[in-house]
Amino acid sequence: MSEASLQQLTTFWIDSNLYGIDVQGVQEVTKSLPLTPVPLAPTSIAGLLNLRGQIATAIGLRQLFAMPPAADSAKESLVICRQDGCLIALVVDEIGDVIEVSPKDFEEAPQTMPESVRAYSRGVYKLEKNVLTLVDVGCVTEKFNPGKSV
Amino acid sequence: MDVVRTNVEKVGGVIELASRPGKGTSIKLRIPLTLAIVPAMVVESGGVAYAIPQIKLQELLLIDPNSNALERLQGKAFYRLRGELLPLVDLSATLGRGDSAEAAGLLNVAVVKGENATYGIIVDRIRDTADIVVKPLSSFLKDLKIYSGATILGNGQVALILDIQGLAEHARAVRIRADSENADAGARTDEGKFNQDMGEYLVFRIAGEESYAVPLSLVYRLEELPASAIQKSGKELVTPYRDGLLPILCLEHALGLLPPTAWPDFDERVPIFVVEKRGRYYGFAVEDIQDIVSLESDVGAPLTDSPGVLGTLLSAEGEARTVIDVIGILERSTRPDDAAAGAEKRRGRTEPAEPAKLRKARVLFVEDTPFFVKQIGRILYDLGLDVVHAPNGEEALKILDERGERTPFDVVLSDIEMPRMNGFALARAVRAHPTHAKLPMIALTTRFRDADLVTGREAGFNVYLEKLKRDELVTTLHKLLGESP
Repeated sequence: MSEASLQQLTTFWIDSNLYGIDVQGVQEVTKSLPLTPVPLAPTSIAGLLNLRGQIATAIGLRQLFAMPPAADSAKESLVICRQDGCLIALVVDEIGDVIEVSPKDFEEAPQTMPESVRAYSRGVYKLEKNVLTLVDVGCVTEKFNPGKSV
Repeated sequence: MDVVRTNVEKVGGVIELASRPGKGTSIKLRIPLTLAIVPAMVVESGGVAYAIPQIKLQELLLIDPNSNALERLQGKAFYRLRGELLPLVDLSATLGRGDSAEAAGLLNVAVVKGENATYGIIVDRIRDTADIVVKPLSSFLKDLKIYSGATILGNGQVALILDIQGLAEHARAVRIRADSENADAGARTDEGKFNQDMGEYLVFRIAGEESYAVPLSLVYRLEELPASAIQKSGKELVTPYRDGLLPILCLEHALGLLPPTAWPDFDERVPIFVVEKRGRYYGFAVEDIQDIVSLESDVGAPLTDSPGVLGTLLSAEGEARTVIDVIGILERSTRPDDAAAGAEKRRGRTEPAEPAKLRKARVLFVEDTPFFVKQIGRILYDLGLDVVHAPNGEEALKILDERGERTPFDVVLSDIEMPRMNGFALARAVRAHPTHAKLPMIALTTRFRDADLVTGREAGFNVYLEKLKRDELVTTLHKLLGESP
């Protein structure tokens, strides 16, 4: 990602903040689907869903980022990523556009960013109107990997 | 065959054919595990569907929550299924999803068999059987041992597949955690482990009092009879039972709560616990059978010197329970019953002789549980034996070493489950001992399983007896001590 060329990001909103993940890692974006809860799993595991016959694990980004549940879940969407052979669905408040960002706008995640978000972020992009937080899906799945008990 | 092959290969499988003329054809079909199809039972708990592989499922039960067969030990539910205690695991409570399903009418229970244990899973609803395609869980859910995978049901819903073994382990872990919340958990669980062979009591009500108990190991069966089935026969109450008559005894008489001529008022249905003694059954009528409790405390001395009372026991809730000496009561009430005993003898039934006093033999009695020290100790004293008591195997060995040389023991009577050194270890140590290697050894246990029997024999016990079977103990002692010079 350190290439000088432009990078495409899938963006989404959580709590009026804009986040983005590399479009290369995104398989698709869908509206919210029925979730089967997984009792005893970490709270950020929102459940399992049936994605055209394949089972994906949904991760609630709000729970992951230690934020309160959304007041309005009408626009809730799923960003489906494939990571290490697993299908992962990130539950987000609202889906945004696919945008192009330039490496020159990139900065390390500021120290003031809450640790609960910083752990999954590689940095921020300064956009015209606001700031976008780059989420690293690899960091998200790593959190749940065996050995690192949650 | 081509269609099959194409379809198998489409899902990444392999089909191999090997034909030998005149012998036949063997077909090998390999299908990736992710496509393994298993028949499963789909159950529902907390509005969510779960799948239980049929291969683990034994049967389905519908239990009335008010049934006597549903019992509670240390806050855990058990069901008396054909005489065996079946531990019940409440799925929604175990999964931490809200209240137990128990409050809601009849209980749906799926009886499952894990590698080590058979237990029942309480679920809200049993849906249907389905052939399910097992899909693995994503790697970061693999830590959850209670699920073995997930599947997509016919309606498109995703259901988790329960791992029977993992669920059992998890349910146990939950209980241990709940226990450790108690202040003195460490000491108590430790003690409980060693005294577990005494722990269970049947609590019942007589004469309006709910404070009576008998050791569960003495209870052969629980029955409930219509009052009309109980008939008066002379001075006795009897009821047709199996192929004969079951004498019904009233504890009120034995305890002096009622004069011998008066009978308690029976309700329409009379709960009875049946005790077996010398191959004969005796029923004890009670007002209500309340519960089976596991008590870790010891039986203290009787508060009053009333006959028929073994002692008093404090329940976990601090309630006093009077432990009834049913065997003692039977001894007293059946002694005039010689005619019946004679009749049995004529029918060729073996009847052990009344305990004649044995010669003054020395017995080393190894037992940690005060209840049994008292119970069995009394039997030994009654036989006129010289009894030395040791609370565990280690002490027993010490006593053998210190005193065994001067005044040799004739027999060792030992419990199996004891702290410090258990009965098996003691037997091995005695058999390896230079001077006591030939000492007759009797194992006494409530854990009477074939595997234990073999272990006991291998450890060096001559005889393996069930605790509280007084007659067997007496006969065995007679045999062992009578034959020795």
